[in-house]
Amino acid sequence: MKNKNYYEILDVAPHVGSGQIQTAYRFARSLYSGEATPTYGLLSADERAQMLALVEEAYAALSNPNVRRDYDIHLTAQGVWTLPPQESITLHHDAHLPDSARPARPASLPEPPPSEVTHELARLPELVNGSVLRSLRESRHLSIDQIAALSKIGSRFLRALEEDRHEALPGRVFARGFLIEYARAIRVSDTELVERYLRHWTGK
Amino acid sequence: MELSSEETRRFEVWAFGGGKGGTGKSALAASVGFQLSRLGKRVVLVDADFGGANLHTCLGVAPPARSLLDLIREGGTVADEYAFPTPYPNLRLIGGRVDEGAGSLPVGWASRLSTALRALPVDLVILDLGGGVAPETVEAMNLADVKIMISVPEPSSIENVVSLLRSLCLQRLVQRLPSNEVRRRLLAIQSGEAAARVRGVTDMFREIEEVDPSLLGAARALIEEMSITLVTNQVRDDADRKFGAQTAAVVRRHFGLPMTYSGFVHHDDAVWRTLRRGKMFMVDASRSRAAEDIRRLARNLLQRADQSPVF
Repeated sequence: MKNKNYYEILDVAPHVGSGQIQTAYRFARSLYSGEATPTYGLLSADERAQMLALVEEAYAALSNPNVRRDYDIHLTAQGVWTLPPQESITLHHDAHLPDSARPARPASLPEPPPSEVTHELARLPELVNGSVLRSLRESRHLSIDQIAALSKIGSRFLRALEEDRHEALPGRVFARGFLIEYARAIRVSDTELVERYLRHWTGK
Repeated sequence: MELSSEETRRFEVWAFGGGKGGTGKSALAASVGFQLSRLGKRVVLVDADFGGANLHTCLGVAPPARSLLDLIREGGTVADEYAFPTPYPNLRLIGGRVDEGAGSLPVGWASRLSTALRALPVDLVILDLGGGVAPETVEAMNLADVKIMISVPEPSSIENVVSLLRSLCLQRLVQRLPSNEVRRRLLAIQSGEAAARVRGVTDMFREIEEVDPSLLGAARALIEEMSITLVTNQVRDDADRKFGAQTAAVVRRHFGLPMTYSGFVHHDDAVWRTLRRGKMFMVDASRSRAAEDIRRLARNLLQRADQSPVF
């Protein structure tokens, strides 16, 4: 399951509309949330938790039109499938989900004051690697999970970014998208951070 | 409801199984068979519950004079002589023996039985299998064109379905892959230490690949060509109604098996009341909720209509 792409995790065909993504997400959630008898009997608690995390990650990505577009480009680049015609992309972007369909955003996330952002920006080193990301995040008292909730990026990808395990990321194009969201979540100018991090990119 | 010409013409062997006793396999096999016979299909029900035969009771008839075991042991090729009439038109029964288990069956019995059943001048043969994963049960399941798994919405029941499916796939691969080495490897994972690392078919494929990668394609085809579907019995509430589709999804996603979902039958007191009187609930409680469900289920099975949600 871990090697599957987001569409496979949600068990939807590529190119489906946002409504179908949402239905598939609800079904998958019901499977792994521990309330479903069959899953309870067939999968261990660990497996269920792991699957639930993957399902959330997949939905977070595919329910966000921008992230989904980047992801589609990434899959296309990998030859997983061909990019749908332009109209259908526009269709996804025009489709707006009700807020209730999105994963709840924790209300109690600390918001760093603007002054601190400026301060940190000035100190952004020439070489931005994973440990720089981590120390920036820790200086804001944010956990990986909080960043995951803010950015809608799976925590295993965030950890891969912070540990410079580029091969564990789904590719450079997608890593760029992750970094932009990461930078926003920790309130750092994304252009600088992204460019400097990607300069030392070793992955695909 | 009338059958299309395509539905009428096709001859098939269906097997009702599921690994666990008491889930209503016999009652469902009998009532689905009855419903399809009413629609004009010529149906033979076969009691393949070796040692626990009671399909005749579900039909409200006495055990027939000659049984499936006799057919197998006598090496009979004319199964027609073993198919006894029931009170219902188009519906006959090859009964089981209530007094005797399978014992040791003659080598090659399954393929001979398959040939004999397929020579029957009927449209549909329905095998009612016993619980457990005894080799003869798995073998009978393997000779069927459509493998219908019956489960009640309980973890223990679905565990049994999965273990039956596991045995089914293992036996199929062992019997049909042309490599002694692969066979040895697969037999080794039937039990013991090695069994733990092989949960689903995906794991079996991995084992095969390690021994002989050239057989992987054939192995996949052997599994994918199977028609396996799930039916939920004794459904009581909304969560139960979701059980079948969820189970099929988990089996597909995590065990690598092509399983569809054909529908559910409500828990219905009318069923056991009529069974207790030795009557058939499709006749004596024909307007009950369960009878209604059976009519829908029979149609779904006939049309191969997957009830899984489509996204």
